[in-house]
Amino acid sequence: MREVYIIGAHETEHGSFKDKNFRHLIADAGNGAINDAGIDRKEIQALYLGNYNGNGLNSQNTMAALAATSIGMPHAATLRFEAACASGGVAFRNAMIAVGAGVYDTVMVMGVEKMNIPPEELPYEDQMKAALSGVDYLYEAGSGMNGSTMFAMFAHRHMHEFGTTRLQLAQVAEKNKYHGSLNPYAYKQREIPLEKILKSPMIATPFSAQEVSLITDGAAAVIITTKDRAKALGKKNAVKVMGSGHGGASFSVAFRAKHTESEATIAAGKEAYKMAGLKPSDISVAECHDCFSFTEIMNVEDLGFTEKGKGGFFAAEGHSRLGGKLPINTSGGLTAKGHPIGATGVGQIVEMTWQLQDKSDKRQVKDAKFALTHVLGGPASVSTVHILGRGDI
Amino acid sequence: MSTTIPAVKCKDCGTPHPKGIAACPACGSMNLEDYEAKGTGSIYTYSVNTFVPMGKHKARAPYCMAVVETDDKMRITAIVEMPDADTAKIGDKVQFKAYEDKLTPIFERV
Repeated sequence: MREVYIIGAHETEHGSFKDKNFRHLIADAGNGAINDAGIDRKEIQALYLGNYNGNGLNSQNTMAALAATSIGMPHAATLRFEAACASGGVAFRNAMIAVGAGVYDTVMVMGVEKMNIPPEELPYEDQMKAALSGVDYLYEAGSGMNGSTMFAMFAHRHMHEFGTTRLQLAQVAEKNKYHGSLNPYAYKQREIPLEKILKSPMIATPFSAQEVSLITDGAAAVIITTKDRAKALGKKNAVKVMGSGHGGASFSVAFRAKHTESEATIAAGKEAYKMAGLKPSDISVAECHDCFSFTEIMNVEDLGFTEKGKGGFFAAEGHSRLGGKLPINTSGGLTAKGHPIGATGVGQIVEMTWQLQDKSDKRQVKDAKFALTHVLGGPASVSTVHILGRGDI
Repeated sequence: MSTTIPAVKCKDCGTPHPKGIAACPACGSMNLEDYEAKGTGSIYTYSVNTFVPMGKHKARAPYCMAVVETDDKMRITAIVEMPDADTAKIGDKVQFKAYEDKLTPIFERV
């Protein structure tokens, strides 16, 4: 497979925007990435889009063609990827495969989600139904389970088997809120003291309102190309895509064998490390899917950053905080930067690209060499992992 | 005699599942037979849903949502009724009551 490089990256500010619809988000992210790459948009042959809920929330399907048309590149071959919270990661992986295989030379990968909708446009009941469509309706969503409950069930089982504590969960959230306070693109740019996180009202035990991802409007885009093209463009800071992995696990919470790990993450991680020729201890900085505080604990184990059962100590002991041995979610993650579902996987790639280009300002990890991104979709059942490295152009 | 749960069982691998599947999630076989799963079991894992701003279970909140493991090893996602949901814990013994609105299995803690 040909080597693939990221030559342009941009994301929108994250938040709840009354005056921005999905077209504004697409235009901002797409044009930002094109400007960063410094190429003519006519050169972009395809647009791979991560989008979860255009049809459910925005009355809009075929969002990839709409996105291409919205930014003056209707010629592009377009396709939309939907894998719930993993949509953006899956889009990136497939674009990388297409460039790697020689089908295309230059592709834009974008993710977009417009989630904050006024009730007069779409009643809240319908919004909730759309949001839950990434959960098995017959067996789970229909019986009163939601996204919070789903991961809360994993959390309680992990606490039961390994002694993980409520305090350790809150420490993950506190760390990510702190990182978010340093990110001008984050939805919530405010530190939240540990005490307040612990005392906030419960959403679904053991998660308080400060430990859940945010309903967020946002978009992100990157442009990938071949090494030869990156060289010809003189993109000395182009970031190399070193590894990619994509794994699966049961879509049903009840039917899965274990509730303390995601087999999807474990498989995706193994594949990505093997392709990159790297091991977990080589990673300098990572964005991993903290849809809830606990999810990050499970992820750091599944990605091999610590052994199974010890994830609760990773944030508690400061290892994943800026300044620690492996800062995780320097963007603030899904609980502070926000979680525009289809955009999240691409936004993580943008954040890690910036880290490897020394553009991360107050949240810069010094001498970051290898960066990892990880998303988890549905009931921990779809995962992608990507490993990026400083370019050698 | 306790109430049983209408279910199916895979004739090839023997795994029991709640009704609704067309093939066995464990092995893919379509060789399924009707089965009455045991109504007794325990909470395998759970969460207490406290924030339920809308939907059919709104009035019920806070309620215990659980993965129940029946005594014949069927896993099923269900609501477990108990006087104080905050006291729910893994291992609590439960008894199946009935399906509500065709989609929601209801158990009670015993």
